[in-house]
Amino acid sequence: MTAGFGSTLWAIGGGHIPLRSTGAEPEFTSRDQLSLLNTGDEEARIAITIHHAHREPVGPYELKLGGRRVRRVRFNDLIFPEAIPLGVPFGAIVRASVPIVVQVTRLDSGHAEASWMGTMAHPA
Amino acid sequence: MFEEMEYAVPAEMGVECFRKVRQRIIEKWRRTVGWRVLYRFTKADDSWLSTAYGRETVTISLHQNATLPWEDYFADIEPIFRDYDGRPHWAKKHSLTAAELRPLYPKWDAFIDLRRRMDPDGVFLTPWLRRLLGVSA
Repeated sequence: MTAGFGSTLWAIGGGHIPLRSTGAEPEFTSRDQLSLLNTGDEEARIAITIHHAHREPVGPYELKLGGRRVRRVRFNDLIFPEAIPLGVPFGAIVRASVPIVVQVTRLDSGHAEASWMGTMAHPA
Repeated sequence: MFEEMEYAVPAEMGVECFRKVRQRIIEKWRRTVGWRVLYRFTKADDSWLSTAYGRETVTISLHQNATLPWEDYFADIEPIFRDYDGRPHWAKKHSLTAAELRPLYPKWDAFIDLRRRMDPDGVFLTPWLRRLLGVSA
């Protein structure tokens, strides 16, 4: 069984789901999105903790990612144990059972000229 | 854990009702309510107190996590459902009691009469059911 590369612990400090959207849904719904890559053979069990500005963290939000697979997950779609409020800052800690790679992408379609932003999460 | 409000409206008015709900959510609740709104079709049936009694039906459902505020959200949207003769799901959140429910169900009085004859001593009534159905015994 081939081990993957990356990290089992990632941190995201700049979370912020834009409040406004324009254009067709769900393609152009404003969002923060995780891009998860598992290059190893073993399935990754992933637990996300969301940090807020004015209250205690919420989690875990639990996901699975198969071996040799990628997965896109919108923060907008994380509703258990709590939906994430829009238009306010949040942070996220991503813990995985095996090394994975985590990127973060934001689509802000609040204006007609939609903008994309992507970055690496911080491997801790 | 989540809380839910679901109303059944006549199918031919479902899209219009949904659009009004959607617009209200965008204007007032989008920031704090991350849940989708569910829209489902149900065939008409002939059960007296069914939310689909006598009419092709669309159900529209609101959700919010139980750990987050939900009361004001549901209370704000409920009048839109009421504008479309909405019938609330019996096992989900709503604010209606007998006075508001009776006009929504053509067989309401027949049901109340049958219930009384089948349970003349009120064995199967609870305080909540008495208030919901508007019966004293």
